[in-house]
Amino acid sequence: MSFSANGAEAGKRPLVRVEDVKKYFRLSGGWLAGKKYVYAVDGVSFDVAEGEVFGLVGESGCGKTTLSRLILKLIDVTDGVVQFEGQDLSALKGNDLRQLRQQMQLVFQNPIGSLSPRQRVLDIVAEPLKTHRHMSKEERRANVIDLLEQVGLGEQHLDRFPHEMSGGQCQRVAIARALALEPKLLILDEPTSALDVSVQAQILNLLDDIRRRLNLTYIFISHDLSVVQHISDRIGVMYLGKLVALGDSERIFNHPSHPYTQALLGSLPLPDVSHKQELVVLEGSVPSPTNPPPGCRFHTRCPIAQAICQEKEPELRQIEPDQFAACHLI
Amino acid sequence: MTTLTPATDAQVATIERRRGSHVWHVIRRDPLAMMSLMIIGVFLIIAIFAPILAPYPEQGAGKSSPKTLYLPPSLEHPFGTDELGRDVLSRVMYGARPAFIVPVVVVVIAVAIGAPLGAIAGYKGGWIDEGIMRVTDLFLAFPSLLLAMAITAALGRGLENAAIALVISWWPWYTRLVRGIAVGLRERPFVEAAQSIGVRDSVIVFRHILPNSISPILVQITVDMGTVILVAGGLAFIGLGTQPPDADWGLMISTGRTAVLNQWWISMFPALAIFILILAFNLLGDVLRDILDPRQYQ
Repeated sequence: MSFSANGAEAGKRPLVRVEDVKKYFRLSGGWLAGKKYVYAVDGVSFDVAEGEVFGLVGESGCGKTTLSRLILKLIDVTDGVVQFEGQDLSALKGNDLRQLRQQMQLVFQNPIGSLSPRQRVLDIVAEPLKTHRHMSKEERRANVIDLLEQVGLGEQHLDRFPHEMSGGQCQRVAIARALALEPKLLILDEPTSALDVSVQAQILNLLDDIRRRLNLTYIFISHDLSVVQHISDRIGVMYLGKLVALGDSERIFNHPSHPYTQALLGSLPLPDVSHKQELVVLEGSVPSPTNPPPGCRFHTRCPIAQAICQEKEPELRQIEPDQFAACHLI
Repeated sequence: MTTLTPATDAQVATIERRRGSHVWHVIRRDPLAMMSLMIIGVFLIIAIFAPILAPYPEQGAGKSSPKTLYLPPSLEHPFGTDELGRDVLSRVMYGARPAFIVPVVVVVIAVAIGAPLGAIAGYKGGWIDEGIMRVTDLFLAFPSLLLAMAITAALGRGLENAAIALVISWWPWYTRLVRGIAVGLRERPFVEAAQSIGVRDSVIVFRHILPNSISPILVQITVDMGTVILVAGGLAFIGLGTQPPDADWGLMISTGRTAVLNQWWISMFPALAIFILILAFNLLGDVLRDILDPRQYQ
């Protein structure tokens, strides 16, 4: 099994390719304030192979949600290329884009908020079908019931409004809606972080189950490394709009090389006491993405930072057969 | 995987009932709201059945009665009679008809024009937003009554033209209201979800933006009913709205105003009717706002 910096496992073609993608948001401070930008995503590259679960981790504000919207082309890239099945998304418009959107669907963090408060479950789950499939009302209803059963709900939920259901049930409805068009890619944007711990496990198991059954590809976004590790094949770690580490999930989890990954893991409560690990605790908070620090963006909080880190920006490079990191010192 | 225990049918039924009657439930326990609703109901019944309920239906419709000029309130004429000898009570009852028809027609058409425009402006943003909102600004730059007066004067007097004028000066308020809501809704995950599904923008506006703007629109409609009654009355008062011999509260106040010191009843009772009905609409609007707003703007 070999990795390339930009690559998935050899032999599998990439379903999604993200190449040096950048997204800067212009801050509207009026003409007096001058031009200011939020560097939300600043040069990120990775591939996601078909059938793979790619985990994307980072603190809030690191750009992972922006990145997910860029992949779906809900917002346009400032620079760089996003490819889906070899097709450049930036060229797509109107109907072609709508067609392609059937192939990739999004599940949101806030399950209740992602469902319209004035629609019943039937209408919510049927919306993708109404949009893209020609079928009779009865067929649609049957299809919706089938989808609900796939996510552990049933016919009795058809007439419910979102606020009449629990967060976990709402997330199941959202997943059913995402599955309606039989997509190839599911982007899961913190699908469990708004849920109770017990429900989290149920939803994670459900997602894992669905993926195996339908042979889907996931991009799983979370700030919680333990959740991502549970489900992912490979993990990318983001910090301030940059990918700082990338690699095999087991490898990243057991032998983190980048100091930021180590710190993220250090903040995890580990059940195994014998699991020896130096505890790295991060101090301070994430610098503003409006004015990212020069050099390595992590140097302001890095426990092992040297002079070079303030001057030169590290490249993402291979340090092990299946692990990449952007750091001068390893 | 553990499945969630589905709610029993009884639970579902309870939830259903609770939701459907939430608004009604709160109104029923609020004496002020109940009173407002009853007042509006009574006026509505009077408006619909005026020919049956009025003691002198012919006079109510406009027929003069030279033998009964300027009679003060009595048992025979509880509200007295006016300068043409007509029973003021019957006139007030007939006057309830334009008082209801005009605001309903005006507000319904204004919402039908204004709300979708506001939803499109707020949802689409950019130059579409700019374009729509600058046009509404143009209309909003003039006070509603003044604009309505100018338009009625240009179109010619009469109830229909007054209604058209009121629609023209009223729709921008709904555009502005709905635009504000739509800007907020645009960022909500369920709208983003619809976009990621590939739903067309026009469908999103009508399926997601407008249905979720209903509560504030409803509140605004209730309050506007009162305001339109007032402005329509004002137009009638200066002679641009309802034309004699049709009954209209504003018109009655206007014709009675010269005699207000001696024959106070001619102006007093239609004025009271306007006052009470507007108060009822405003109180109801306030209550609706309290019920519907906290959830809408969470």
